[in-house]
Formats: sequence, structure tokens, C-alpha cells
Amino acid sequence: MRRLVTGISVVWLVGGALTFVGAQEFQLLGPVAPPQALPVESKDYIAAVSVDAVRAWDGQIQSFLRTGELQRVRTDVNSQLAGHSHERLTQYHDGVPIYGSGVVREMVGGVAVSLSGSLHRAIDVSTTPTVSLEDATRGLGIDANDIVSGTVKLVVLPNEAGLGEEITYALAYQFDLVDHTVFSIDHVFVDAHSGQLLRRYSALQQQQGHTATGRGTKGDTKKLSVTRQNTWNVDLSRDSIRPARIDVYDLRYDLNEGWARLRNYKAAGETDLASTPAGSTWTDQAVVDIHAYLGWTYDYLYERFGRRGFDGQNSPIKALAHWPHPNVLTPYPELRRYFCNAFWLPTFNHMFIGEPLEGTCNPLAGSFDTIAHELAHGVTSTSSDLIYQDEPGALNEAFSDIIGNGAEYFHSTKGSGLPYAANYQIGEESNSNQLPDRDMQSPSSAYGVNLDDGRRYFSLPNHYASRWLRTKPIGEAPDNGWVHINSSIVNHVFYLAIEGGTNARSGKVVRGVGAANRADIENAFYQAFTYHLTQTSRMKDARHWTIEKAPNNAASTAISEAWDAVGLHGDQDVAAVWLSGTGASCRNNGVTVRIGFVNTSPRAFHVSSLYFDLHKSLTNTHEHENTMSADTFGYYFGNKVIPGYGIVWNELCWLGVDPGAVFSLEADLQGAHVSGVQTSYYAGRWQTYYNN
Amino acid sequence: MNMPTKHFAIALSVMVSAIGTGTVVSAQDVSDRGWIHINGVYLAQEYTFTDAVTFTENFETGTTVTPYTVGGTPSVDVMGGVRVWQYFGVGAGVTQSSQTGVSTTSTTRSPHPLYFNRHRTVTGASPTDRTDTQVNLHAMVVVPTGRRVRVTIFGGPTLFQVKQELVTAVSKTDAYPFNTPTFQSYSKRLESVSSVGLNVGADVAVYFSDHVGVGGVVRYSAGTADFATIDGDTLTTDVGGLHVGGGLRLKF
Repeated sequence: MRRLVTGISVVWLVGGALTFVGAQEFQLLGPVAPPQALPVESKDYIAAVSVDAVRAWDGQIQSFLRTGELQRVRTDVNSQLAGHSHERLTQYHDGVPIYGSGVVREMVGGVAVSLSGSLHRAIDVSTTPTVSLEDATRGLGIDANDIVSGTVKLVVLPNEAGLGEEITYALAYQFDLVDHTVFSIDHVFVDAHSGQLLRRYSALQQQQGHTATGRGTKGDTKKLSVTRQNTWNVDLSRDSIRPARIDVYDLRYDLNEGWARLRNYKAAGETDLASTPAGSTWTDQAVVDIHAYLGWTYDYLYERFGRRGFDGQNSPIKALAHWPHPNVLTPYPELRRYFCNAFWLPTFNHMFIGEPLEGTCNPLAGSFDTIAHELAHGVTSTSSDLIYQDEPGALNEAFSDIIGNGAEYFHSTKGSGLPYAANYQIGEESNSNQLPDRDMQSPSSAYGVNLDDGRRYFSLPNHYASRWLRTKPIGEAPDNGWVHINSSIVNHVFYLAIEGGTNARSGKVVRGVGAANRADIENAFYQAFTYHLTQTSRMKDARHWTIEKAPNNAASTAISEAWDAVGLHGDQDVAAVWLSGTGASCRNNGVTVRIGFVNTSPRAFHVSSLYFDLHKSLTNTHEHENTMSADTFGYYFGNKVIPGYGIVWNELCWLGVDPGAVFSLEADLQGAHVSGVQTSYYAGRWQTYYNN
Repeated sequence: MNMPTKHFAIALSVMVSAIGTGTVVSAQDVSDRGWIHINGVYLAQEYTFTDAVTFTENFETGTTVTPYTVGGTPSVDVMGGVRVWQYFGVGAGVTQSSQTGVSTTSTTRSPHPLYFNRHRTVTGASPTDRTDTQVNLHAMVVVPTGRRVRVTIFGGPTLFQVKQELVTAVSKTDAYPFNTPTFQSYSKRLESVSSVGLNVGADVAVYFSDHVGVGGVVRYSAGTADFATIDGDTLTTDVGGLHVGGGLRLKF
């Protein structure tokens, strides 16, 4: 920490008012005041596997367990590694859980062998509410009847505004809230001291909707495991052969009853199960597909990973079908979101599969990877519980895609049942033109999705440098911070690790393990995502643990190369830090960019060049690109050597940016560590809407 | 010409040749009125057949395949005859054998309860028993080769009766994920059929006294048996075979 402050001071002294030097597109605006908050995160990220590291961290963990600062919330027995178990520990502050915090401790014979997660430090917030929940909700105009019963919790909510910015903490009431106006359920956080709304985002972990033309079901015949109900002389869509019960409920297009059950106001019962006269052939094609594909996914999880159902404990799997009816669109246009859509609702651990819409899309029930994808959300919500926003949300989505893809290939290899060929596309079966929502092989060629704000885009990121950044507060940001968009980066890693190939952006070649060994990659991702990632894990954590859990050297190499290819390097010591206050117009008709470069290693880093890339943030269209030399870098940032544990920074005006542009700025840094090892870093990405 | 008929034709020509040879070489008087032969014989050849039983389970067709191997078994054989004219006589005999372990294992391809076209294979022990009874009618030619030696060549129709146990079903224990069911037991039924075939053979006897001696016999009998399977099909198998043995000889 002390060395970092020194680094900033040095830069500050050399800054000056300069214009149009070197790159001819920047203008130095300084001197400016140093940032109030130092770009150092106030939490520790743990990824310990070496004996020394585990021993060091475990001592602290044990201490925290004794004091109650950490509490064990569940223990999962590893279904693939005999004798291994994984304890999930949540961090508490004065007896209140810290939202999204936690550590996973892998135990063998009572001894810790790995640790992952993060621990907050220097939390400064009173855990005694000064505003009651009733007063807070009343002040926000929330009807207490809309709060889903049993979901209210008091938590400490970290607010991580961005990379390098100081984390602030708030005591918050957390609950799930039904929104009648848009027929949705949100996770809501309300400040227990001020009564202010802190965060609100959709609780529905869903497949993104897509636009397609209508098409019939595939007409293939499947076996179903059903249950005979002798009193009614019917067969029910309840799987009682597999160890976990699988129920498909028929909401029968009843607007109010369906909605009540969707929200769990009325628990779905046996009379709500889809049924057919005893012994007869099932003719409800959507129910057939949902029921069969849920079972197939259960089988994949069990046979590939030894996992018993979505939660590892064979809890019932519930799916809701046939709601709403297309005819209700006119009076309730907001119901359109429930067509061409599917989601997992972790609050109640059940799945919703939307209806086809004439002229819009096919039944999602007919898309196996979609059904498997949704059930995988249940796996995530009962293991890592990756928070469904921003990068953890993208990991959450990616894992669902990976499980969907794995299940599709698993059954395709078996040679029976799947009515179409397995591929690396997600959701293409519910599009009449068979174009996918996401393409793991070639993300940038994916068909595109409808976003919450009504826009459609046709190119998804295939590189970390191309990821979409949230530009609005989480409650207002589309797609919970682009969880369905940035997931394509991780999906692409999964693809490259199996099949090999070249990343289109970096040009880096990956030696995949080959399709015959895809189980090795699936296992590495499963182990990492279910046993080691935590609620707030980021892609760098996924990189670490997928490599760590690779079952052999070939898989480890393939996964490592794949992450490198998409720009997530293992030794990312230097990163760009975008400081607050950026985005405003500057006096010469440009945009201000307050940027720093942090060196998180003790080794000095000698810059050889810096590549800037300004492009339209969402469509990835390049607008301005430039490379500045080391001397120019030194000119702008005061030093062409970034000291160990140091930072160089300044505020620049990027000229020629049109007002109103929606753009992002990327920075790729090249240079050498003091050791002489040449390194090329994707340093960072910054994105904003510039609307002056 | 099918195999039993062909074999019988060959044997008949051998028998006629032998008569001619005996007539020429030795024209001694054969004053025997009749003979009784009591033998222990051995079915010296093996033949196999396979039964495939189909069944419907979980909306698909499964099969249980059981191979059967007949042969290598001892039998009791009794035959007798009377001289009708000069070297020629007629006779009859009975051969009966019992065999255990005609089948040893059955292999079942069982439809998966949750997937189409994903049959599982179950193999288990399924031993079955069989009893063969042959009633042989003979035309006999006694070839005079000396006072103490009798060479007899014979042939004629055979009435076969076969009682064969056939495996009809296999039961298994099945547990999730239903990929490797375990063989539990099997069921079988006794199928009894009769048919008519042919036999030929030769017997050599050496007498120690006027009435008692020992001898050896070779007989080949051929026929087919049609079993009705549980599927309603017909399973056709060979019966009879090459029997070799020896025993007590009586003449009077």
C-alpha cells in the first residue's frame, strides 16, 4: 500500500498541461487532483493450492471460524474425487452475513488442501438497523404483500463500483419482490440505515428471448418416466423412476392461477401436473420434451459427474409449462417476455418454460440445450451461487451453456434420443431459421438477442478485451450487466479447450484435447464451478480453478491456452484502472479519460508500447486505434516504467469523439518485466455512454 | 439330397457291398435264430442350435439368445433281431440318453426404460436338460466271418423322441442409471417332439460260447426335430448322430 502511494506521487509531480503530442489524439488536461480513493480493492482474493499458501490461509480461516466471522453454511461431498469434501463458508460482520462473500475450503481427511474465494476487510458499518423494514418499504412505495414471504434477510452489502475503486458497505434488507406491472420477481436490497434503494435486479435467471418464426415440434418419439394415478386413472408427468422426482406442471394458460403459482403464492400440487389418460400416448409435445429433457439432464449430471440432481441431494425438479396464452398479449403486452423464454427461479428452485409465439419463435421445450441450461442454473444456485450480475453473472450463464452443451454431446454420443445433431450452438433449435442465441465456436457470429432495452445486436465478444461493460447502475443496466453477452467469452474458452483452434481476435492458437477427451474439460469446468467458485468470482478465478482442476496435463494445457487466447492471462500483473470522473466532455470536443496503470507485482514493468482502441461499445466497431511508443507513454503518464506495486496515471482528453457516441476504450500494454521477460497484456477496458 | 438321406444312401451301399463280400469270401452256415445286443454307447458328435426369444419391454423389442450344444453324452442301447432267411434278418432297438447342461448361458438385450435404442446386455447361467430316445427298426445282414465272430450290418427307419428344455425368459435386477442390469434368474419350459429319421450301422461280435459274447457297434442316425418356440416360431434342429459303443452279445 505504501509503495503504491509513492508511485502515484511520482507521476503527479511530472504531470503537466500538454496538448497534441505523440499520438495526436490525446490532450493532457492536468494538473488534476489525485483520486480520493486509491485503486486498491479492500478485499483479499484467495486461490490457494500450494501447501504453504493453504496453511497460511487456513490458519486465518480457522481463526475466523472460531470468532464467528466465518460460518459454515454447507458441505458438499465431491462426487468424483473420493474423500474430498468442500465446505462453503460465509463471511459475517458482527453477526450479519456479507452478501456475496465467502470461501470454499476443500478438505481431505480433515485437512484443508485448497481454498478459494474472497474475504472483505476493513468493513465499517453498523449492523443495527436504524430504519425498520416496514418504514423503508413504505418510503419506497413497496407493498408489503408483494414481498415474497420467507425471503427477507439482513445482510452487509458490498458496493464494488468498479475495478480499482474502493468498496463501500451498507447494511441492507434483502428480499424478493413481486412486480405486478411487469410480472417479474426481483432481488431487492434496501439500506437499513437510510431506507434508500441500494440494488434491484431480476431474480429470474433466464434464457434471453429471441425472435423467430413459428414451427412445429420435431415429432420424435421419446420415452418418459411417468407416474400412474389410479384414483383418477391418469398418468402424471412425474418421474418416479429416477432418484430425483421430476415434475412438469401444466399452468393451463390460466393467467391468474399461473401467475400465482409462478410466484409460489399457490404451491403447485399434484392436480397441476400435466397428465394423460392412463396408458395412452402423451400428445402434449411441450410437456413431453420438457419432461424428457429434464430427465436426460439429470442423467448427464449423474453419469458424467456423479451429481445427484441440481442440488446434489436429489431435491425435486419442478418445471412450469403452458403459460401464458398468446391471446392475452393484447391486454397484457408485458407478458411477451414469457414467450420465447425460459428461466430458472432460484427463490423457489423451479423452472419456467415459455410458450411459442406464432410468427415469433418455436417452443423452447424442443431445445435440449435450453432445458439443460436452465437446470444448470439450479446447479449453480446450490453450489457457487454466482451472483446473477456482471462478471459473476456471465460465469453463471456460461456454466449453464457449458452444461447444456455437454449434455447435448453426451446424449448424441450415446446415439439415441436426440432428434438433432449436437453442436456448439445454444438455443438454435427454438429459432425457425436455426440461428443460435450464442455460438461457443464463433461467438461473434451469433445471431444475437433481444436485450431488455429493446435493442438487438449481432456480435458477441470472443475476447476479454471485447467484453461489454455495464454503463448504468445494476438495477437499470440491461441484461443484469450483460450476463448473456459476456458469457460467450467463457463459452469460447470451453470450446477452444476441447476442439482447439484460433481465437479470432488474439490470433492465438489453442491445442484442444479433442472431442474424444471432452469429458476431461467438462470435468475441469464442473469441478471449478461447483466446488471452488464463489458468489463473486470473476473470470480470472474461473481461469485459475479450471486449470487447477484439469484431470491431466493435456487438459490443463488446453484450458490454459484457451484462457490466454481470450485475453485472460494467468500472470496479469499490470492492469488499466479507470478512475471516477471520466466520461465528461473536455473543452476541445473530446472525452476525458482518467486512466492509470497499476502494477500489482513487486517487479518493475518497462513499457514498450500502448495500444489504444476506441470503438462502439456494443457492436465492436472500431473507430479509432493508435499505438503510442514507450517515450510517448512516458510523456503522457510521466514514466515509461511502472514501478513494482506502483501506478502511473493521468487524465487525458481523447479528441475527435463525437458527442453522444456510445463507445468503449481498450488498452493493451506491451513491455518487459525487470526480469527481461517480454509480456503482452490486455490491460483493461473502459466503457461509457457519452451523451453530452 | 438332404444330409440324413445322403448318409443313409452311403450306408446302404456299404451294407450291400458287405453282403456281396461275405458271400464270396465265406459261405459258412449261419444257423443263429436271433441276437440281443446290450450296449453302452457314446454320442461321438456335437451339434448346436440357438434359440432367440423376442419380447416387448418398455415399448421396444428385446431378445434373449440361448445357444444349445448336444453331444458327448453316454446312452443305453439295446437292440435285437431275428434271422429271417440265410444271412438276412430284421430287428429293432432303443437308444436313450439324458444330458444336462445343454445350454449354459443366455444373453439378453434388454430395452432401456428411459431411452429408445439403448439396449443393455445381461448374461447369466441358464442350464437346461434334454432327453433323446431313438427307436430304431433294422434290416440286418449277418456277414459270416468265422464260427465265433459275427459281423452285422443294419439299417432302417428311426423314431426320434426329444424332450428339450428351452429358455423362455430372463429376469434381472435393474437400478438407476439402468446401464448395467444384473442377471437374476431364468425360466424354461419342456418341449417334447417326435420325428422320423433313418439309421445305419455295423456291429462286430465275438462269442466265447455258443450264446454269449462281446461286441462293438457303430450307428449313425439322422433326423430333425421341430420345436415350437414361445414366440410361436418353429426351431428346427438335427437329432441323432454318430453313436459308438459296445457291450454284451447274446445269440440263440
